[in-house]
Amino acid sequence: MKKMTMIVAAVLIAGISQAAYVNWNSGAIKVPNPDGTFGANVGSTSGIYNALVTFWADDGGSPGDLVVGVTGTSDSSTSALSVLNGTTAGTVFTAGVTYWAQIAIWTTDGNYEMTSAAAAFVEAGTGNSTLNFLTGAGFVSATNKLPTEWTVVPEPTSMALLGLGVAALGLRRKFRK
Amino acid sequence: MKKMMTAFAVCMIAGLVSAQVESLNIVGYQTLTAPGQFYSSGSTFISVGSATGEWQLGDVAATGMDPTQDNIQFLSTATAFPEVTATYIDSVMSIALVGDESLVGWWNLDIDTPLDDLTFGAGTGFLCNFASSGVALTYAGEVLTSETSTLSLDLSGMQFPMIANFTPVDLTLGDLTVSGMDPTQDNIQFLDPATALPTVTATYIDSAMSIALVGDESLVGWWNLDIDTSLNDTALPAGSAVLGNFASSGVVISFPDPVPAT
Repeated sequence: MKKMTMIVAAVLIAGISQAAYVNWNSGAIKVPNPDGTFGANVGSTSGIYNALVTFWADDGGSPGDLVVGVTGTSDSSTSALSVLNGTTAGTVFTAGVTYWAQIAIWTTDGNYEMTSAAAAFVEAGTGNSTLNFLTGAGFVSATNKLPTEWTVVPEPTSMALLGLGVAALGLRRKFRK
Repeated sequence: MKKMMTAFAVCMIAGLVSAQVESLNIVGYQTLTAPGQFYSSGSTFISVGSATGEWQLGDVAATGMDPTQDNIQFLSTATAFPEVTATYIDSVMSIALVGDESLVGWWNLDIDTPLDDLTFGAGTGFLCNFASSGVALTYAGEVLTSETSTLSLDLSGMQFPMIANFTPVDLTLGDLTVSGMDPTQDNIQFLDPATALPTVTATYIDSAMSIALVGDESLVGWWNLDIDTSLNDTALPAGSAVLGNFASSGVVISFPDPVPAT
């Protein structure tokens, strides 16, 4: 068959692959126990749990510059699946490019929090990528990204008492001298 | 004459159909006009007499395509990047180029490799890139039917399959049933014909998940990712396609048989 050089010499046909967004998902969130361990799934409860997802560009295999225009996405609702989720908007992720993502979840009362490891993912060639921070689905590595327990945030009162105690020790030492 | 067989198709690119096929030899054609530059589509027929439920690119005719600026792309099921890109030369273009119709058909972009013989399983979709307006695709062949009431697409191992409504009948998502989808990490995306960006993203809750969540099957069906809006009524016209995003490895989507069993 003849090779139609006349056609080939014409305008290049643009590819379709283009940037898109990221659908992120925390995986099933479990109620924190007083010791930080996990209880049952939280269920459909709005406003009690919050999440912030942060994205970075890749810098030689580690998180680099913050992705401009995206400081994260907060979502204070949970679905029947006991998850927090969202879709990035405002910043388009380039297809085939490696990025890093991390999720921080905290309770609205400020008593508990947990932060995932920063994990690398490659934006899908077409359509949105999907990231699950619990199962690692969508990330380069399938390792569980969320910690295995909640972090118990010290109460302000406790912190204050701790501070007073330290100050008291200092005063006693001063007067003894 | 009826013939009964079990069809199990393995294709070059993507699309796997596992079905009990009973060929009634219902043939036809269907012309669909692209609603925008980035039309997601797939054939609504299989090749006439196909024993494996497959179709060939040569079964598809296009009108209005300009080979210098229009193409269709079959995406890698592993990365969602284009894997095969094809353009079409119609009769008018062929005569203009070489004086006869010898070039009519599908080609690679260099127009030195014919692609009419590329074979795909039923349900394999592709993403168009039509800078030209009014491009129409004519699918022709045989209607795929089944001894049962459903036709199943086995998408095991495919993270980014383009899934087409391979029946010549307009459907809604609620007409499809799914097994193997995890609503926290699996979804399908409808791509905007104007931008190729996702517009609607849907996930599926099956019977087991619904019972685990609420104790009954009231949640079975298609939902948005927040699981607070049902998407069962979302249209899936004949020949339209969606982009799957499956972290799970054993997703199977079943379509209703377009020919009711007698």
